[in-house]
Amino acid sequence: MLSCKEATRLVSEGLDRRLSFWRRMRLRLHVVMCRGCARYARQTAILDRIISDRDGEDLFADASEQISQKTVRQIRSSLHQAATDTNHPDGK
Amino acid sequence: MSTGWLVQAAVFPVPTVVRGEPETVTPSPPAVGWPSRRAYRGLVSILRPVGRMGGARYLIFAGWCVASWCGFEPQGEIVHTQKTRSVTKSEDGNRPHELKLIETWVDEHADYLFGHALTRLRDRHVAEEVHQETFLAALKSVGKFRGDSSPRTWLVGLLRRKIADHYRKRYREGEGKSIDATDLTIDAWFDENGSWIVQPKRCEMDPAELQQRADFRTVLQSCLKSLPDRLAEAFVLRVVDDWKPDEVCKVLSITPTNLWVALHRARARLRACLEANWFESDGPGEEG
Ligand SMILES: [Zn+2]
Repeated sequence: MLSCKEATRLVSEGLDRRLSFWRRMRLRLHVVMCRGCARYARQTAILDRIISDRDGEDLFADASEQISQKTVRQIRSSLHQAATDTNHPDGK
Repeated sequence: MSTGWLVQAAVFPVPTVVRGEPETVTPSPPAVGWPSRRAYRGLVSILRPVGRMGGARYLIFAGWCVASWCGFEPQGEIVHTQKTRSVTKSEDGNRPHELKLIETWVDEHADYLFGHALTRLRDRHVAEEVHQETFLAALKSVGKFRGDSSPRTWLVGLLRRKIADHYRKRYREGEGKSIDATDLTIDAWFDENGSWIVQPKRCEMDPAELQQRADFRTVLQSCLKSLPDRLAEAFVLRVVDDWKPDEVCKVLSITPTNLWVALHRARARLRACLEANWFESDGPGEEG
């Protein structure tokens, strides 16, 4: 019989690819009987669904850390340089 | 299409080489009807090698000529000239226009892209570097941008390619840490039989609602930050960016088995982190 530790591993793998028939059956059997793993399976599945990137909107895009103005200025100046350098391309 | 032109360019000079040696054999041009002696000689020298070829080859050659001149090639030519024209134009006039466009994109999307890069690269310095490379790449290839996606989506696409390049380079050189054989944090949740010591709590999560909540995002992001690098990278590429497992393996240079392990650990830790920081504090399903 599958242990809870192994079951959680299979739950995750089952979210990424189709498990083989026997592994799927063993997992189901365990989840039916084990309340903890049933919750675990449901919660990780929902978590995956919440997190998956939808239409380019990224829940993980870190809005707390802003880019510094210094870096923005640096980007601008390197853009200008790249724009003027195109006549004699020498790498970058 | 472009190969057709290459072949043509390669084929036509050949007769001019042939023209040189058999000067004496060349029949004299008819007095009338040919614009010039040179043109006539040119035509003869072009046709001579064709005549030497077998009939089938001749047919194939003729068919190819017809197809290339009448079929696809005229379009190819137009595209070609347009391309070269836009390049030459941009060198002496259009460049400022493109630059201005990219600069407005810097204003509008730099923060978003930086956040995107930072979650994936997990290092401010590296994120800034890749971020800057992305805008330089955008300047270079802005001619390929068609309005069918939003600029942000297009920029994110560029950024992701840059991030993947960065991962590839980092892990090909064997610089990155490998994935540990055991995960003590997760092992500690189970007893010696592999059963839960403390079972997961009950929690009803409504995906649509949670996606909208800024406080949930904050918790989620701090939970992601608490993951070890390799777990977070695998998880973000696979689940957030929805890459195929074999692509993730290639970019991070890990085996599929490693990937399943990394994803399992990432999910397990994230769930536990949310349970501790979301379910229990202001989360909706406290009473279970
Ligand atoms: Zn169980």
